[in-house]
Amino acid sequence: MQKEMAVEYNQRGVDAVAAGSYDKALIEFQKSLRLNTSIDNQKGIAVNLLNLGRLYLLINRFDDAKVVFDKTIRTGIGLNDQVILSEGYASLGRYYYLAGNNKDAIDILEKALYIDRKEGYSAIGSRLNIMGMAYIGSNRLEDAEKTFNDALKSNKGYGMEADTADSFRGLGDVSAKKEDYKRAMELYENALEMDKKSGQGVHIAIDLYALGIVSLKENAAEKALDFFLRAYAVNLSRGDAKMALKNLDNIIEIYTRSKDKNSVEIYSSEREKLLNKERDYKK
Amino acid sequence: MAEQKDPRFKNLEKKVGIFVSIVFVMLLAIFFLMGKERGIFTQKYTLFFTVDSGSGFIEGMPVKLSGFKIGKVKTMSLISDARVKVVLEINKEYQKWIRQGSVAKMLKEGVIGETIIDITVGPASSQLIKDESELPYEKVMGIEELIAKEVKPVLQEVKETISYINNPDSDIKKAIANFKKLSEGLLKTKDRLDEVLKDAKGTVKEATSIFSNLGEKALPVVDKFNNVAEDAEKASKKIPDIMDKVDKAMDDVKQFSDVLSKKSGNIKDMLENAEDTLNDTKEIIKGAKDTWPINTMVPPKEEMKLIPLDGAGKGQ
Repeated sequence: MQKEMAVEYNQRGVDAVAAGSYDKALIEFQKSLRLNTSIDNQKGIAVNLLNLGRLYLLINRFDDAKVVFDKTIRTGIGLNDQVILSEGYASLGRYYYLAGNNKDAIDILEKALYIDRKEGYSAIGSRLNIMGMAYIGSNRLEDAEKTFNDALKSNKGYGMEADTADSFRGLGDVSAKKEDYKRAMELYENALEMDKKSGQGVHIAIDLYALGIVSLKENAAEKALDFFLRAYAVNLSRGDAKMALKNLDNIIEIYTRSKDKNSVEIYSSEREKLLNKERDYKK
Repeated sequence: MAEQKDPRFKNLEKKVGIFVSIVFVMLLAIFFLMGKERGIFTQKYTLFFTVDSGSGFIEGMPVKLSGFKIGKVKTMSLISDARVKVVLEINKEYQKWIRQGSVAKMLKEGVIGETIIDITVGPASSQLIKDESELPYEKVMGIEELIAKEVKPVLQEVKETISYINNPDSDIKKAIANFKKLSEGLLKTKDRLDEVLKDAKGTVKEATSIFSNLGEKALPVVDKFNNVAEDAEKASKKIPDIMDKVDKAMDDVKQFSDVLSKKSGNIKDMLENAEDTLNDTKEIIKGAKDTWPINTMVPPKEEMKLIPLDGAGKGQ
């Protein structure tokens, strides 16, 4: 019975993450972990730790995430569970990438990929996407492009829509870095289409933001403004203040350049309100 | 012996012989058909499992696989370690489905259905379980155990909460006592305030005579002093009303607390009734879940799911 309750709480946590309710998700995962620990369900504990770690990455608690991923990998080794090990290495790889340690990220992602290839897991493309981002971070654009193309092939093959969108976006990032904005725009639009199909709110906002930035590079301010406003609306509806502020900065910048004082005032006041909210929340 | 002349009795032995033969053949056919119906002529083999307690098992209890009767409980016996050996008699034709990996468990068919032994189909790649071999038995959690694990802790918590409210040392009781002390203190403060105001009135009168000596310029100041004194007096008069309201609120809180204490006994009964109702409901739901076609509609229990690992860049 406790095992079933643990599954239930874990599922509630996963649903809460999908809805952007990270505080709720944290509570649910902790409840599930407590139950799994009380019945020494090692596999359940490992899944809870992975989810907690991934949630910590989403809320920028990087140090906590690292501790949790190390523990997951130790549990995976103890259980000799290849899925847990692969997921653990991949999560740690994502942590290293976000922490700016691209070399370690690539090394640890290789470990995850080795297991995935050996066992024939469908998550290969997802690992390659993170690896591609780490290559971009290391300014190895050719490696990044090759990796994203491999990821795209794998993700399309396994029918992984969200990961396919990540591959398109990664390739878009490579093109943007190479200043091929036209190609970047096409790739971001592909990513947006895929993300809309799979209903990935966070990623839709990222795609729209990327499209806005590329439009600005192409001196298409009006087009860029449209993308930023759409991205801002998605951010607000999901309660993502950090990304909303980024989009607002660009919106205010475009209105300032076009000397639209009224709009500048409106969005500046919204920005101030959001900042105050963020400050209150942090307190 | 005289020869039989009546034609009706001619060949009587022959006729009786034929009649008896027909009856005998008919009896044989009935016996054969009944035997076939009851599976007497079907080839059988036996499997067994051991359980801690034989309660719930009965000889003759049906054994089913995928909802079809494939045998019955043949015998039950107490073995050396005080465990119970349950021997199942299974039709040989179904042996092909019972392989290593098959498990036996006791289930109830529907809410009021009979109790059966259910055997799961073993993986196609596994070997057949041979005659007179042991079959693994999986214990299915009963309603009582479910309640013991799930409902009882909740009921216990509710009971503890009620006894906590009733405890004179609890925070709630202490808060009520403190509130009472506060209201008494407020009354004393009001009395003191009255005295201070009386003194203030006298002082104001004295000040008025002094100010009147100071001339017309001081008169507005004197008026203000008078107004302040009057306002303070009005405020002081309102304090008893406020105190009445506080007292009334205190009475309500006390009444509520008393009612709660008295009703906690009733609540206990209610909880016990609720426990019974919950038992019944759980049994009905469990039975319904195990019954076709509802069991085909209930989704299988899901495994622990992972949050998808984000593949987006950090700069975005």
